Amino acid sequence: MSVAARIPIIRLYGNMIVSIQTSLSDQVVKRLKEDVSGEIERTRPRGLIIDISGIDLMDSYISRAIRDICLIASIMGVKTVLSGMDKMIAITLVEMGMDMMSVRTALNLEEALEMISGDGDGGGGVRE
Amino acid sequence: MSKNRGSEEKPSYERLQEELRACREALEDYRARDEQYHASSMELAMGISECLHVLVEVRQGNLNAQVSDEMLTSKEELLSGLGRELNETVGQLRQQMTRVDEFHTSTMDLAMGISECFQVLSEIRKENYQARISDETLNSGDELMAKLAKAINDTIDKQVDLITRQQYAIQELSTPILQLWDDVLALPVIGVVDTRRSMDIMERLLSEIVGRQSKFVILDITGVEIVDTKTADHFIKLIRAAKLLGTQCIVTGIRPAVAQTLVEIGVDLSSIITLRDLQEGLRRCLQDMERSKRAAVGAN
Repeated sequence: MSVAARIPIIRLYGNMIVSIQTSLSDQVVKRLKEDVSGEIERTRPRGLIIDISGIDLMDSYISRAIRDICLIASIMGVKTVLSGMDKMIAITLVEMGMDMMSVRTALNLEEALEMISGDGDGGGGVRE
Repeated sequence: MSKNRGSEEKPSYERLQEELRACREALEDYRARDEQYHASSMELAMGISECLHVLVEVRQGNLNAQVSDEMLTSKEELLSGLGRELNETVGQLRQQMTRVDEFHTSTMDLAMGISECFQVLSEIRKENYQARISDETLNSGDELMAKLAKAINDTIDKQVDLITRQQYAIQELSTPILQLWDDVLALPVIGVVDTRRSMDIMERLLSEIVGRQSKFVILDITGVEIVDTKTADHFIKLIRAAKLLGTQCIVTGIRPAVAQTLVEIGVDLSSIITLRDLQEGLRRCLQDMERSKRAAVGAN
């Protein structure tokens, strides 16, 4: 089995930041899922930000996987924010009918950090 | 003669011979005449039979059937006259049939053309603006048909052109995106929202959100009088897409009729914030902004 490229997981002020700046393959995203959940268990961060501003194409598998990562982190008790989604991806996801309503989103990394550090719901907050 | 017979009572041998010769001559004459009659009646019978034959042929649809030349040049005037008349009548009949055929063909052409016109018009009504009448009908031999086809095509061209220009104008005019406050965009929607327009709105709104990094969008639908499932679906998609970018979307100005329709058709609006009017929407945005700012300050 070949070693798939890894997406770096950055720790910053007790938060975890995953910045994806490249197109993802199925293997990479699968690996990322395992890495993130393992890392959450190990370091017990307060929040998780997944920044996907580098992705401009996303198929249904990748988008589902990213949503799964967000939900996994959420049920592990980590405030999770998905940030920097491209507008065409947003349109595609909505047209595909992908249910992302339970994922919190932010326009950019800075705002995502604000959302995690404040208790406020902030922009695009989840209403469950 | 009787006088002669009276004067010469006695029949002489010469006289008898003379009488006999005369009788013989008469007999010869009769015989010749009988032969002649026989021949002419045969000819007549043959002629009539030929006429009958021609008539039968005509009835069976062979309009090229003709009486033979032999009969036309017959010595019997009656027969040659009959033959000529018959030939002429058949000729006229043939001409008329040709005319009827022509008429039939042109009628068929016309009918086909008109049916095509209707088809094209119904396509246009179904908003297939590419539909046009074919060249075949345009170059139809029937002048009226060709004119009609050309007129219809011209009208369609004109109307489609007008529709395109109007659509363009409406698109340009209809949905401005306003920056209402720092981080607050407003999108007043007026009129009918169809698929095409909703896609246009969505793309422009999302571009604007990304460009200005706005945290809030107020979708004001005071100007929308009619909402059906499709329109509602467009709005919900728009709101979801905006939310995926990380923007909070607030819907304001829902008309009573629109609210009724939305509830009746069972659109799920539970995940969407709806407020009375634009003012309320802006107030909510400002409150949220204040709260998150305070929270951020508190956290730090």
